Amino acid sequence: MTKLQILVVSPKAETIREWIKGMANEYFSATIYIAMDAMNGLLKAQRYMPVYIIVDNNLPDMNGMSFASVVKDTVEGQESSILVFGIRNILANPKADYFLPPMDDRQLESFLKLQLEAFLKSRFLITAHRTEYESRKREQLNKLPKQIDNEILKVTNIFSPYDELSGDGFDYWMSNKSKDGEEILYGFLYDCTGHGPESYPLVENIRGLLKRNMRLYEYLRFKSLADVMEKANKSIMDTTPADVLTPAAAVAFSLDLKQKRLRYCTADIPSFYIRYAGEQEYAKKDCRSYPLGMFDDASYDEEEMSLDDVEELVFSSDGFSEMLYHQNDVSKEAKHDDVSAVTIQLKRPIENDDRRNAI
Amino acid sequence: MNNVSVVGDTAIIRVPERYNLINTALIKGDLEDAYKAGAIKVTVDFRDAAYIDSSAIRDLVIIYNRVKAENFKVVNLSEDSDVFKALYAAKLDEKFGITKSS
Repeated sequence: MTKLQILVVSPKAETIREWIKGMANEYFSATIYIAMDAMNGLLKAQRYMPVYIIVDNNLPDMNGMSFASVVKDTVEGQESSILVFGIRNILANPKADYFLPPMDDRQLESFLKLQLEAFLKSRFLITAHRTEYESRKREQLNKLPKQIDNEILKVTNIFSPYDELSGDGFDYWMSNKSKDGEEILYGFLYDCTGHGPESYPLVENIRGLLKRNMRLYEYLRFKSLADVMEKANKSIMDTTPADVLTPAAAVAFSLDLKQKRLRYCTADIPSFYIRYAGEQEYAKKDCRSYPLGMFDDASYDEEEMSLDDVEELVFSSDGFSEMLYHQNDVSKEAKHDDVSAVTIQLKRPIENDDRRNAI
Repeated sequence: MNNVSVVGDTAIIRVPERYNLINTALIKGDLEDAYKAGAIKVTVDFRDAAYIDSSAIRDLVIIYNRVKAENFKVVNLSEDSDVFKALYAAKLDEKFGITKSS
């Protein structure tokens, strides 16, 4: 069994060690070192190089956040994950990974166990299945669509997982049919609850469902994008146990560049963004719809809008939009979710033809 | 602070400022204790809440499905709040019969 070093730095380190030792040894052969103050904590961090450090912000000789920053900037400590508890006010330039406010011992024990369990599970999965994990990361990156850049439009994307494997995904493609000079961009974006290796099976399932249904829409087997969402929802609900929910937010879209129409259907994607010709700012288009995989009887609506005067569209997960326009810093993290977005810039060669014809 | 209290046959969840993956696990455990203590209804009090994530929304729906619509209530949720906006975007204001904050 893989050996793992954990360090607890707190006047009540012995108590905390009792709380966590059972769980730590479920996944690894864990040695839990303890220190009652920062000086001893620093010495032990350098000697044992623990992968996980639990720090009391109220140490007798140093602020816990300062302790964390010192450790993180050492060669031995730069790879450690550090949790600091008992924080009333965050200091500038903190380097710890997790922060907990003051709480009673009952809550603290629960939170520490949850945080440690999540950390150990991810490391367990990574350690036990490193090859498979790397393979899935490559697979996820390989499935990202390439940029489209032609005389009509340019489609790019942003893909930024919160933790190596993302719970978000997207795809887009130009129509294959050349009948009547059709030029249609099809695409979708989704955001599954959770992220990382545990959510990956759901991510792949959602991707497969939306891709298949969008192809059926492209080939006119589905009449509207609402059918795309309703069929996806039904598939998810039919395969999910009764007392479990695996919801996902999604948006499906098609841009008909000849007719200059956007059709879209959302499933709990709260908004997308439009930049009009001559404008610097993006206008936010709010949406309202049930997530996929939450209610058997959920219905969805296809919406339509003109692309006249539209220069750019941005479809994104809420991990991106919350950072973009968040007024209140309630998340208290620089980044708290997977981030993904599809940006579509319209180049408007059709307008040039219209102008020439009009002369 | 225990986020779940029981008054008669009702479990009252006092949602913390950040209702996210960490808190849902804690509240889930406290709610199970409340069910065992005889609670058959659930009231969710959002007076302290400033943020909610998708895992918390999912868990609210699981609670709603378990106790059924007539036994589920949401109170003290301002329509101006980010929490309301997140629930509104998912059409859960209709499902939950959300009342305005007093």
